[in-house]
Amino acid sequence: MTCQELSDKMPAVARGAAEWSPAEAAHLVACAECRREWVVVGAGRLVARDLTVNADALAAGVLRRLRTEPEARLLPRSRWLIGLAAAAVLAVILVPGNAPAPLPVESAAAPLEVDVSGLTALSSAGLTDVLESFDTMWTETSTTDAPSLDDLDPQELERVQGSWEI
Amino acid sequence: MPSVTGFDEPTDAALAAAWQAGSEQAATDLVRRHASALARFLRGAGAGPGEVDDLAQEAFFKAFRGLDSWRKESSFRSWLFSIGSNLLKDSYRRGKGRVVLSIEDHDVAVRRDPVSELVAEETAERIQVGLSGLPRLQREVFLLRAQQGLDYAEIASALGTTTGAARVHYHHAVKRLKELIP
Repeated sequence: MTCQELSDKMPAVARGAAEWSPAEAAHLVACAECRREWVVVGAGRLVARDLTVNADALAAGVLRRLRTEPEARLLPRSRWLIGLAAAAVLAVILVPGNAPAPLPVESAAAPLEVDVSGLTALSSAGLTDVLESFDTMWTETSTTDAPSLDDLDPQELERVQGSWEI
Repeated sequence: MPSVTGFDEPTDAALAAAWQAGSEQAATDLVRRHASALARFLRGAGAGPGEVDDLAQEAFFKAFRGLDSWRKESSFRSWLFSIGSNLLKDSYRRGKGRVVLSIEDHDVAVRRDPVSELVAEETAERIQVGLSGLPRLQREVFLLRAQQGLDYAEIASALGTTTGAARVHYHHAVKRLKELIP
């Protein structure tokens, strides 16, 4: 009989799912540390015990939200990243008009040739790689201070993402 | 889960599948089955009295919307607790929550052993106040174990940690809380 064995069993006994054996009960009486832990576990079981919940009202509220709130509000991470990748493409394409000298035709056209149709098949890591490649691409093809995704505020990002999901 | 009438009640997985097939009654049954435990956990973990209902609703909403991500090796309840725990974490980040709880229960939980008389309302009050001073993971692990009766594997699954770490957090929590016992 060890204190650890008693400790492991305390929550179950406190909940009435198990009972102390005579040996365990004797240990509990003799061991001050186990007694103190037993008091703590018993008190822990009482926490918020009197809290009442109207489960039917709660369920009604949940169902109402499920019926009315569009599922798109909870985009899985991968879809969000796809949107972000799409935003990156647009950020590359929609460069502010204050860029100084036009780039050579070959370089300027390069970003427009990016095929984004395969993005949906990519994992999150793959999409991250794609995003990073956009940054690299811009660095390699521009002589200006390139705007990055960091320059977009959340609303702008969301708009761009939305435009790609239509 | 067998019922007292002898009839088998549908499992959580069966109710979840029924909800996904369009049964709102199944969703209601799941809420009825788990709402009280979730609310007690949220309250014990520091949600304010006015926050519990909102957090519980949000947890169920996210659960039903994200049922596909429920890996059935963990129970629905522990998965629900994991959602609740994350919501609480967000709430803390926004500077909400972290209230000191009071307890009004005049009953004593432990009347099944020779030292049950040691447990008194005053002690329970002390424990609840002590809980609010613990680190989040210690507090939540303690609650999931002592209040909810989850085993360490379920706790680890709910809180995104390992069973070993959950055990360590629990014992740190108990050690701190024992200091409050005269």
